[in-house]
Amino acid sequence: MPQFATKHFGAIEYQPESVFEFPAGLPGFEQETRFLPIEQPLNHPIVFLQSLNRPELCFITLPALAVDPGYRLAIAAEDLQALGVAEDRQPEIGPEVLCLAIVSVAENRTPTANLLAPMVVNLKTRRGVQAIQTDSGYSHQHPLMGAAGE
Amino acid sequence: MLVIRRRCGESILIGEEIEIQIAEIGPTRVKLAILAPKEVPVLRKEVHLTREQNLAAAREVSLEGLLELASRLRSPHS
Repeated sequence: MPQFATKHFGAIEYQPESVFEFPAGLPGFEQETRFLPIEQPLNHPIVFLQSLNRPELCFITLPALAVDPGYRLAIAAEDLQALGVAEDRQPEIGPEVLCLAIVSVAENRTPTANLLAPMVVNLKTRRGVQAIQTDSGYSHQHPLMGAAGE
Repeated sequence: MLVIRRRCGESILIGEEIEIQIAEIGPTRVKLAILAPKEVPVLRKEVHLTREQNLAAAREVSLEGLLELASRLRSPHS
């Protein structure tokens, strides 16, 4: 099994077939096309997306439905095509695609999740895009109230 | 902020080298044709916001905040 150095978890072994491919990279990280999802019971429901190219790059994400149980996809036609899913409707989160929102956790600030542009992965092919959902009305800085509130 | 009314086919100029033409007006959106020098980045704002947000998310991780986030997310919902 291949091994890789990670930001938060030291050196880990991983199954090559569990890797997510983002052929276009992400805005700001165009060269980063391969990410390994890492989940830990201790941090559930967080999913870490560890870059396989840069050990120091590891995104913290949450399932969009964990942030907003009513979350609805509004993926643009070209992104549906890039994902390789049916183009005449939105894919279903769960059976068809994984939908993860990137979280920003800075000190002394309310953590936020980017619901405007979730990481969407076709579960059949493990190919993904960061789908910028222009018409969705979701925020790129959705405050995580569950985390902020007291 | 400068606000200008334009009809379909009309343009505005920004400086000497940037022209933005109203190419089409639909019921909910307008189509713009943008002429700008190669070195001027032209981005939809959402792409710019996502880029900035990705860069911030990669940079600013407080591990303490992270563990706190995880535990609070678990407790109210489950």
